[in-house]
Amino acid sequence: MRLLASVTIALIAILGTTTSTGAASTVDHQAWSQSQPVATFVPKANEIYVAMTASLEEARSFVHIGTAGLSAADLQGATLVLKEASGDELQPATAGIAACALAAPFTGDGQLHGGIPAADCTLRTDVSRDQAGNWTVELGIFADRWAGGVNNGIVLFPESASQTTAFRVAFDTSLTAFQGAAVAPAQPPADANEPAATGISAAIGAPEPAAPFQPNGVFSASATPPTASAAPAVGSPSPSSTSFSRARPTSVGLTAPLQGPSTTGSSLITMTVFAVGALIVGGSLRTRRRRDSMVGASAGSRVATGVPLPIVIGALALLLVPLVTRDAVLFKIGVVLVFFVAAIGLHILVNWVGQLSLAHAAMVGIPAFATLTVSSGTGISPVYLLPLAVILGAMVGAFVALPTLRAKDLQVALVTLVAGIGLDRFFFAQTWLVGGAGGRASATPSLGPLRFTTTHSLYPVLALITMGAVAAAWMLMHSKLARAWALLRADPNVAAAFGIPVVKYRIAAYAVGGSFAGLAGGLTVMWIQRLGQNAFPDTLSFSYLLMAVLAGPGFLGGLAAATAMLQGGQQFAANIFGGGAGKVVDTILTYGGPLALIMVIARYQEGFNGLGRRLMPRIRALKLIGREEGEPDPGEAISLSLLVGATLIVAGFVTIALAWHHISRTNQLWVQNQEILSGGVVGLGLILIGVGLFIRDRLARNHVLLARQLERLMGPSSAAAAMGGDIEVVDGKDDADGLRSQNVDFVAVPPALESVTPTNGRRRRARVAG
Amino acid sequence: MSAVVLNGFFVGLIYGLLGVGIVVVYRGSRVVNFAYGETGMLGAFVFADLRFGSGASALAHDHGLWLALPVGVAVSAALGALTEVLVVRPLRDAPRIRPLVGTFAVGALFFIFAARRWGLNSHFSAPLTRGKGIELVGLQVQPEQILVLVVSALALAGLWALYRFSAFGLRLRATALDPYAAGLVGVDVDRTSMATWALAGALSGISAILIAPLVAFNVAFMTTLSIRGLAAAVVGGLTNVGGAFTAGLLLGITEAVIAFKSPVSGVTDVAIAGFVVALLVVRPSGLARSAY
Repeated sequence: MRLLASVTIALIAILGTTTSTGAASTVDHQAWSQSQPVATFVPKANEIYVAMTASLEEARSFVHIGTAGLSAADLQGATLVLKEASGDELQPATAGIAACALAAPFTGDGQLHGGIPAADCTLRTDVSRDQAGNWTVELGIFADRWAGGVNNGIVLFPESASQTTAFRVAFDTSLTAFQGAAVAPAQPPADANEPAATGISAAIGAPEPAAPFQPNGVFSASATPPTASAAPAVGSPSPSSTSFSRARPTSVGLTAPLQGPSTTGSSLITMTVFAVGALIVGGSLRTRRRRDSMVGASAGSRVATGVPLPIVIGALALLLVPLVTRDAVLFKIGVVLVFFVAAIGLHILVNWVGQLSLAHAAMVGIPAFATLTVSSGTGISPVYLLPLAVILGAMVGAFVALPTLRAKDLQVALVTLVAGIGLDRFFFAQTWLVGGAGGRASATPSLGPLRFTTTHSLYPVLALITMGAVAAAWMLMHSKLARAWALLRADPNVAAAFGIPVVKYRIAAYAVGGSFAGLAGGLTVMWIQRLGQNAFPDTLSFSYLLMAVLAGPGFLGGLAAATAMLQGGQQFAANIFGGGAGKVVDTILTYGGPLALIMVIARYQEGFNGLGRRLMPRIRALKLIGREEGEPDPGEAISLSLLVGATLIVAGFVTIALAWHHISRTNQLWVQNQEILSGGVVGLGLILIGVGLFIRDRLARNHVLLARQLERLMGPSSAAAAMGGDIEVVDGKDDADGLRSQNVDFVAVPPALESVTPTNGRRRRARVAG
Repeated sequence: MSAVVLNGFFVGLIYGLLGVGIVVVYRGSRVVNFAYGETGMLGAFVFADLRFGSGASALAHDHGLWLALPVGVAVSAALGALTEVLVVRPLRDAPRIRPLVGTFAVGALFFIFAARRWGLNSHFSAPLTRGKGIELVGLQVQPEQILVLVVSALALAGLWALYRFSAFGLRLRATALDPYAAGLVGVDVDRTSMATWALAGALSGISAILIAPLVAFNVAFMTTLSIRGLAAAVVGGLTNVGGAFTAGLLLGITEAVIAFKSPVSGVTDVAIAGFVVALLVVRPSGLARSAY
């Protein structure tokens, strides 16, 4: 709507001079005040100012409107147009201005010294600027309040989230005009110059006013304060965007209805083609014998072949999910996937190479905006531009790497932080790159003859590219590069002594991280298709860091878990838990992210991946009797029945809770009865079965332990044989490069000896007691 | 032009003051404190609630300056100490990068709390001082700015005296140089480190309360500013209080001049970022001599 409106308003502004001269008289007071005590400019009498220096508000303006004889309905479509007084301005094109309601009466003019009226920003809207320097405020949201006749004015102030840190906009008070509602009913913009006018605009621009005062969505999973619910719609994938849900209520800017035969057809075709491709890739990975990797802390000690089961399951789930989801949900899933791909880049840097980057938002954002610019300018499908995004990302990564080469750990953080902020603030303030205040829209994604106009048709592309990224990371982890990085992470000096060109590999690390980030940038454009200039605030880097650190060293499982928890939780809190509960969950998630980070940093440094490494062997050991070597003791293994039992009990309680919830929401007796039967009884049944499984498990477990003790008592000779069992240490064959020396395979280690094997790590030593 | 420079000087004063706090923490525990701004911000909001609050809660009323000011500063000091306990103490022997990320997380926590408690809009905080101020080269210098100048000078002198003459300062320096050795000769390392963080927290709180009336007083105001403060501290070499302060002043002036002259947006940030990066690469220890 905002876009429609702003186009209309531009028309109005052009026509305005002739049509509405009479209406201008309703603006009866215009004033401004200096927010900082000192000004960097000399004010003029017939001008009012909105200005910002060094990200801090320098001046704000007040406009009072005489609404005598105007009803709320009259105000509904009304606008206020302010004209810039050029010559007294500083970078007005990149300025961001917001308008709030007045909270106190005012009657002043010119510069106010003291007696500055307060603003009430529960009513706020963005002020949009056109090329000619006209700023337009839509007054609709103020209508109800003003109809009462009090405090009918607005406060104009600089948005703290503006990308420029310094600007000054001067308005010529003689040209300020109030436009009545007469021209308001907007005609659809038939203007072909507006690339967004393809329906995307209607879908995305709709519930917008971008939240102005939101300070860049600071701090990741967080900063979605209750007030910001009308948040930055223009598809910023910033963590703060609850906006996605609102920005696209139904579909990704779809021109065609979902069930159109062409779109479902193309969706099916692409899905099949990509699925076959994925199977081939997966198959080749599976047959390829896995070389031990040094990336995971302890993963290297167990030799496995092929792709692990979780990855296969994850891939299947990814492909199947569109069959059971609505467009809006699928869109959010896609957003989480894009986040995940971006986080892979930082995960590699942080957890594989041991480097840090606080410039990740720039690494994602610059390729994204470059892709967007090219796509919107030439009409090329963003899918084809993904390679460009990858290359650009790698270049930005390598650029960030340069100053880190000479720096050591602390300085690396500072250098990347500063470089990131610099890149971010510079590039994302350039209108040639990020477009104007309304952002830019990309061309419709297409691939060959297929045009993806719906979320469902586009999703397979995203899912398969994501899987491709995972596969690439998998190959990377088992490459020479990753082994060298592992050594680099352990000790750069030792790595250098072993002949690893440290500088080269470090730059490579940043370039690789950057290329994943670049891919994610390209995917952002492909998926969201419209970005505003605040889409990648520099604080976004912190979200990525949060995810990478939470993931911990290892492959991408932990990262997927971290992303799903933080970003997925953020996106879906309201969906999963309903409106009221969504807020609670949102609170838990926003505080939980940083808290978990502190925990991981301070206490449990292996992150989700470490957790997975501890849990997986236990879950795998489903057999109770006939335990084999290397499997954990049944005393601590998680058996299938235990797992199922626990799940059933939880499910039972959830069922009962849901039944109660529904019962309390209805006064229909038959519904209540039904709920009691289906919810209550079934829930109780589930709990009973679960408890039964628990008991069965306990009994079986005791049985095994008893049998074992008996065995030990009866046959000391067999125990001795076990103690004398051979320890076969299989060393790496080519020890010369020193890289495989840690790849020690322990074959047939009797349980009793695990405690004394020196390289076995804490986990096994703790098990002596069992 | 001289007005622009003078304006930059007073903005730089703020950067310098914040840079000094970051240096105090770094000298004390070798940790770059990314939660520094948020620590002070919370104190300033508590102060504003107690002084100018008009909310429904019993706390948000005017309790007088002499209650509000100490409480606000104490809150910041306590939060500083809390940061030490949460992330610095457990990570004393870890690589320096870990506590840094930890302070990031603590800052996020503080910020989230503030954003939920006070929202993201600007609040109003009246200056601590009254009067018309003085007129200098065409600029009206507010009394609050002069107060910032005075407090900065006092802070610098106080810190210098603390490090130079007091037993506490000696313990601080010893702990910073080598916590293990300091512990061996009988310094209570934990307490000293906590005291440093509390001191820095208090400094942050005072700075925030002083600065709040000069800027758009929202929950992000210290975050934005303390990044500049950090730049000042880095340029000053992270261990040199005077160096950081001077660097902050220069930063403010440079910024004002560039912003005034430059026709292209975003150039200020790039220029400063470029300079800091280049400096870190060429001379990692900063411009000023490191001091202990």
